Amino acid sequence: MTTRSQTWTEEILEVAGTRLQMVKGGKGEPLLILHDEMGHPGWLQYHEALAQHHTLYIPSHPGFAQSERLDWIMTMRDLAGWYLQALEGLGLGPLNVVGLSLGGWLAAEMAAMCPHQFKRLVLVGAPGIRPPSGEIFDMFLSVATEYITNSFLDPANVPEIQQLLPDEPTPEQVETWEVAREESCRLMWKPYMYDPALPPLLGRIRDLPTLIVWGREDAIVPLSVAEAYRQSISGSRLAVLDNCGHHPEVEKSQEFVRLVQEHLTGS
Amino acid sequence: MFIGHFTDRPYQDPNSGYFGATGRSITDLKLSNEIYDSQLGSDLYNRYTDEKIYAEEMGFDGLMLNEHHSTPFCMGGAMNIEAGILARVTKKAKIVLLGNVLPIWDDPLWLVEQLAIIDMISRGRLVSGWVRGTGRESVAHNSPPPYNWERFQEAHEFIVKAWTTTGPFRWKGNTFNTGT
Repeated sequence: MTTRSQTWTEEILEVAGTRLQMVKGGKGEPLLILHDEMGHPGWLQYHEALAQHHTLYIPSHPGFAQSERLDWIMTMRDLAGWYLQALEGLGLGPLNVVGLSLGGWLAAEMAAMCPHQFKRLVLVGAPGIRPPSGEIFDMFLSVATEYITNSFLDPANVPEIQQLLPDEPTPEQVETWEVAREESCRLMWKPYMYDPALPPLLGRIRDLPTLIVWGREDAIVPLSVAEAYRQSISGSRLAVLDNCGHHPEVEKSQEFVRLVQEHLTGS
Repeated sequence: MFIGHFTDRPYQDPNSGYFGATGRSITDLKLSNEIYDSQLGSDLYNRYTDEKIYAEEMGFDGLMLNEHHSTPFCMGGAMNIEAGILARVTKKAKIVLLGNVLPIWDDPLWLVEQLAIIDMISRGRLVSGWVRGTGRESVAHNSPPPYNWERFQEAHEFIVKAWTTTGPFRWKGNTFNTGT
């Protein structure tokens, strides 16, 4: 029997006025991963693959998991402003960032505020822009398990589904989801998961190489939003993955990792 | 002893599916106006008003109304309107509201005005209660649930101040802003 040793660590850091839960792992240049509206789901295959060439920094946003909420953070823009302080506090200079869904919106906000904070940007299934067509799935009118189910095109064939959506979630898992949903609700209730000011502000991003990754069958944030990001961010490139829902990083893990690696190495 | 009269004032229609007759969705918030029979709706609103008037005749001390949104079990989605009618057509009974859902009011000044009108027309018979509402109230009126308690407290403080202090005054809170 062989047991693969754990390749990541978890710690609580005091930064920018709060206590931040940080998962860290891998070797190489730092890569910030900003989690989605349900929180960091644990170390998955795509983390392991990216960690071969990068040191992953995966913070839980304030108000998620064990990270302490800051009451003054009431909008995504507040959160983005806080994060820029936090990255400075952590000594993480210009670095690469992958933002997943809510984390993608967050990354876009931060990049619009402070483009030189990042070297390269990857946005995945990000809300933040009002869909030119279609609607963003209402996560607050459905329970956590239903939302996660809808996040995948074909949950039954997701290899890591038992980690992401166990048949019988533990009470701790359910609580983590509810804490995440509450903070998401604080940040994104109205307008629901977009900010009309974001597209014009994204015009500030000019020299930041940006890759937008989307599942063609994303049932949470419609593909029209991907195209809107592409048009708003000068020089950005859109990669649409077929037969894939809201989580390309999980549902099309290998293809996702290849796209991200290529983008980050500039190849 | 104070005895009041209260019912939820449900939309009760055996043909609508409310009792499962048609199998159509009667879920809160997903209830469709498609199943609403406006003739029956008119009859029910009038019946419930008549019941309140009759309750006063029978000697009840209070006529109590409640408010819910987007649900078949309570048609009182704008309870203050019903209270305004009772204010004019009844004579003695207290008009008890339990209550206005404070967190869903983006402008509590408007609520202050409505309740003051009820109190004036009824010549001081208004008993005004406050509630935070259930989830359906917040969702139906798009009021952010995580701020429910904060919004309740600020609206309450504002309303009490509006009714009890000499104005005009400025109010610059986290949620509400009024005055210049």
